[in-house]
Amino acid sequence: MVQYAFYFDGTRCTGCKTCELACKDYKDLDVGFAYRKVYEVTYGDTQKDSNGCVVSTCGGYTVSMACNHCYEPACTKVCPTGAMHKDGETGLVSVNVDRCVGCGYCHMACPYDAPKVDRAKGHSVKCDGCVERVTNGEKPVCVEACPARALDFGTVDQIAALGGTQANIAPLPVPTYTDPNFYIKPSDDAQPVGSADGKAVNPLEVL
Amino acid sequence: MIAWGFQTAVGEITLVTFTTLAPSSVMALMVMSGILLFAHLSNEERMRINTFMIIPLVLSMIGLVASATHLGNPDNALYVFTGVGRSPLSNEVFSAVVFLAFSGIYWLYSFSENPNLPFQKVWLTCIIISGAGFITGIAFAYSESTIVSWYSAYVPVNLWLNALVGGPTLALLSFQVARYDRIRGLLGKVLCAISGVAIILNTISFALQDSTLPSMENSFTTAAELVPYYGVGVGAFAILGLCSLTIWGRLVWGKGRRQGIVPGIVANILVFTGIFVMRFLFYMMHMTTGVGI
Repeated sequence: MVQYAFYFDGTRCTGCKTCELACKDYKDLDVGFAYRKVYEVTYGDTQKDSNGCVVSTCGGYTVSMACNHCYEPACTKVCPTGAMHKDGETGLVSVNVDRCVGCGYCHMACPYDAPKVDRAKGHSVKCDGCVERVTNGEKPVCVEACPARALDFGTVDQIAALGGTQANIAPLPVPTYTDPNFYIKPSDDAQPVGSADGKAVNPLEVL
Repeated sequence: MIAWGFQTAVGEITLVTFTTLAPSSVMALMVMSGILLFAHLSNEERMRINTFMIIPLVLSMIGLVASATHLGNPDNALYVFTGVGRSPLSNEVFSAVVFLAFSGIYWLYSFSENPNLPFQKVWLTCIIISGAGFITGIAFAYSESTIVSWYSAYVPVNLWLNALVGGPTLALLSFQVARYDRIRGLLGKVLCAISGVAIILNTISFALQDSTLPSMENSFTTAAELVPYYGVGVGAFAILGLCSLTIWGRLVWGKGRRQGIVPGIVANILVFTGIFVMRFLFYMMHMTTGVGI
């Protein structure tokens, strides 16, 4: 079995959200739905020291993330019908809409907030890695759209060889929960997983 | 952040309703089954208790139907059974179906002209065992390590205690409607005592859980910020439960003629309101590790 993975280069990302919009356009997603989201992390403060000089500990960075097509997905584990499944050929996680009851348990369990129930459609929806493009030898539309070439996609061996490490910066969870196929080259400002400074500050945009 | 929690609970209001009604209704059916199994009953008493098992049975079914209404596509519901043993939600649904099958068939069979008592007793034993399985299924329905605010021993303990708070009071009402006068004796006192002890233990358990919420954190918020009024809810739960018990105490310990059923109904509304509040707050506190709310 091939296992595909995403790559994110935090030293290149400008937080422009072209990836997010390209995905929404390609997948024709309505308001309230985004399969790829850009999380913004900011931290620190700016103060005057005893000499009256302005000093700052501020930092900030962005993380562009979709479904990480984990080795041990929480969504497939809890799905009561088996609709949420991991493809045996590609390792991509997707929804079999003919089996999904739309209970929302996948959404409740995923620590990356990837699946969501579309009430109008009556079933869960999520990033499927643009499987039809991948099958034709192309990369997912978010990867192709990124103007800074901060995203990449390939087999997990190809992606791991790019030099990143497995999804280990805030605001992501500890990777041991689901063993995600997401590799990151962090920016200098990136905070470690679980850091008190690593809070996402754009909840209205991504939740 | 309270708005996020509120949004989650409102979105899952049917599950709030289900988890309020079902555990207590199941416990009430288990209590009534126990009486039918072990108490010395006249045929008439047995028949009336059998008949009014319909009260908790209907309430548990209302809960189950309510839970089904949150599904996006109920047409695929039968696939849920393919996940038994793997998905906690499948286990819950399977245990519900087994319990309701035993309860429903028993209730229908009780109307036969010559019911076979030994057969009924075997069936009642099955109701009690499957009822315990159903409550346990609900208690562990969200047992998934990524859901940090629900992956706690307090969650199943609280659910079981909820059942022990509301179950005896619903059984008392059902017995009262069935004109089973022995609830004004030892049986009524024991049921009140069970509910009373459960209210105290549940309040303690809720309070201990409350103390853990600030440390449950993801990349947006803490569980405590999602349910800032959890302590108020716990207080309301305890007060409503004790008010319910006060009413039942007057009915069970009181002398004189038989009381009407209105006080018993009021007492149950009070106790179920308290449980509903806590179930609402439970869904409000949903959050995963990482970035899920």
